[in-house]
Amino acid sequence: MTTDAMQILVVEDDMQLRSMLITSLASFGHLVSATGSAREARSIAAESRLDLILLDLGLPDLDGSELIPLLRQETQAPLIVISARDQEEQKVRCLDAGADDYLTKPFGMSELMARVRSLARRMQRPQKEATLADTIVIGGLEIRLREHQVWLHGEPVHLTPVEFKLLAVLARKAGRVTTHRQLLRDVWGPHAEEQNHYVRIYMRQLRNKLELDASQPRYLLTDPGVGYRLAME
Amino acid sequence: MLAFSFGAGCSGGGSVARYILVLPAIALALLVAWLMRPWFEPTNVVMVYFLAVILVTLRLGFGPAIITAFVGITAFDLVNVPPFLEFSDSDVQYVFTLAVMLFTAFTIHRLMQRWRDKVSEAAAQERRSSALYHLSAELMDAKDIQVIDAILSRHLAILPASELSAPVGDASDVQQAMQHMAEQAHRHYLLQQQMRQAQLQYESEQLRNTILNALSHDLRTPLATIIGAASSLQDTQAMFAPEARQQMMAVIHDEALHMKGMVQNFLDMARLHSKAAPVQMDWQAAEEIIGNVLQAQHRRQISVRITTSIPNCVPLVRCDGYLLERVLDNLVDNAIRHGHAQHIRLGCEQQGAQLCFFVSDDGCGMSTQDSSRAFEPFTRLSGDNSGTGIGLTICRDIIKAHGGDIWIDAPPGQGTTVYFTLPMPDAAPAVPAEPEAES
Repeated sequence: MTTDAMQILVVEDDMQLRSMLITSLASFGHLVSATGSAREARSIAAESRLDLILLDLGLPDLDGSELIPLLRQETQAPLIVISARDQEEQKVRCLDAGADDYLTKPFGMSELMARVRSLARRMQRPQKEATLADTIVIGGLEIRLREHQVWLHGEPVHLTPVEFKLLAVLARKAGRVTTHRQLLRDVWGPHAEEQNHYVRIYMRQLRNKLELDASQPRYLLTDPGVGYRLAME
Repeated sequence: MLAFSFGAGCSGGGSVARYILVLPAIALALLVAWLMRPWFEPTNVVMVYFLAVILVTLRLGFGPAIITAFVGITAFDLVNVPPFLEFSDSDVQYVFTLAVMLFTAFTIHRLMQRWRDKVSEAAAQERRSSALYHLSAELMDAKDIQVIDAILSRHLAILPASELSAPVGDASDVQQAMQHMAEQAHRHYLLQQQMRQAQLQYESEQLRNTILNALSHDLRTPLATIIGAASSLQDTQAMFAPEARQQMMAVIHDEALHMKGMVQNFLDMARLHSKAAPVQMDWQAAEEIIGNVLQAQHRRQISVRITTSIPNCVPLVRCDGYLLERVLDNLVDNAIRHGHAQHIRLGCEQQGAQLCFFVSDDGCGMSTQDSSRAFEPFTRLSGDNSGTGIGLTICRDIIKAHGGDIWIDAPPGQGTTVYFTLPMPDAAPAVPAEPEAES
């Protein structure tokens, strides 16, 4: 599946990885600008119209999680953070601070392109988040946000209010990850931000109702250590 | 006969009582002397007064003894020595007797005093030594510096100031002796800490060296393959059919992923053996963990069939999700790489207060020799040189860190099953109840 050519900014200080990313993205037809410094990233973001930003967390001059709010002042373009395996907490912080998705090194190009595609699709919709009037269809799953109804392969599925709310939060960011903290905050309120087991119990209930095999979910995917996402397609 | 106790000395009541008690003593002495007069020479009768003086000194003290001596000599002179009932010039010699009596009384008094002083000094010394002994006994059990200081202040507070400044043994005062003991305990504690540190450091050095050695050996093999394949592909003189080219590139990808797994294992091993909270516990769903492992395996595009067997209502388990995934990942990798399995089954089952996981394959099983040594670090299967030999060791370390058990059931030729258990907490975590409303 191809997407239209995008203006992509790659912020990566490792030369080899940077050149690999530029070459791979360009081979898919995208226009890529790249830098290894946070300062330059900010000025590029301010000067150009960007469709996507890839940001490595290990920059020499500024921590990735501090750069994100600064970039967000210049652009609302979707932002993917690239992190190493041991930067879990930093990754989650970045997601909470305004990043849209993440990639863990080492990653393959198919993973990168899958993330890019799901973010590109978001760009094709109107800029603000899906309104309550929207209906989201993914494979055999149909979520009618305004009527609070869920249909699976044409049959209605009964969800409790909390189950539906959880599904709706994931659906509004379909294809992209929502962190545990964001889910707890949006579904149960700010006081529940540490109660990870709430999410696990309700995800299990949702999967039991919507998935053929709860341990191999088709729609409700796990991002281990980070959160959950609703599959895009 | 009055009971005279040598131990009491002049402690029988206050001084007034002692002087009052002199009177019956003197009266008794006079009576006995008077009764003895018809049968005894005066030289023997005077002994009664001597005896009285000695006994009074022992029992009533020096002052009453002086009175006894004076009264006795006077009585003796008047009653036992002619001319009776009057003093004569030759009686002056009895001043000598009086003087000797007084001297005897004085000597006895002084000896008794010295003896009493010695006894009380010995008792005091014993008290101080006992205080020091108790301090030392408590300090031996002290676990750290604050406890040592607390014990010291407590003991210093128990004793009165007079005792604290008194000498004991070789020390000039008890307080100093106690502080010295506390200092010793401090030093001992610090030395113990240093020793423990040194031991830990040595052990982690050992581990690091072992890991470095294994790494350098085991990473070179996939590296050799990658470099070989990549340089072949780069060689413009080589002619590759498209399938061969694809195959080379797939080999590069596979070996790189294999290296990634190895590095992961080594890092996990080092992290588990470090002191900083290696296990981060949280509530996890078993089917989610297993699902994550399946997802990761499928991404590697393996040809082995993996199925799951998870009951529907297994409660959430408390564990480190990442580490548990590493265990399952390692076990599945082992089954594929060493067991040459075609079909692998993953699952779990609640058994009382434990959740029991299993990874079962239809591969070649293991010899009893291999399965008994399987969890030792850097042991490989006999006749199989691939892999680093720490996969199972890491699994064991992770499961042990969770308080669980891991074991293998692998009859040769009949496939391998690895079981491991995780303890289940008594109380399942709760969520707030939802109001009853249809959606």
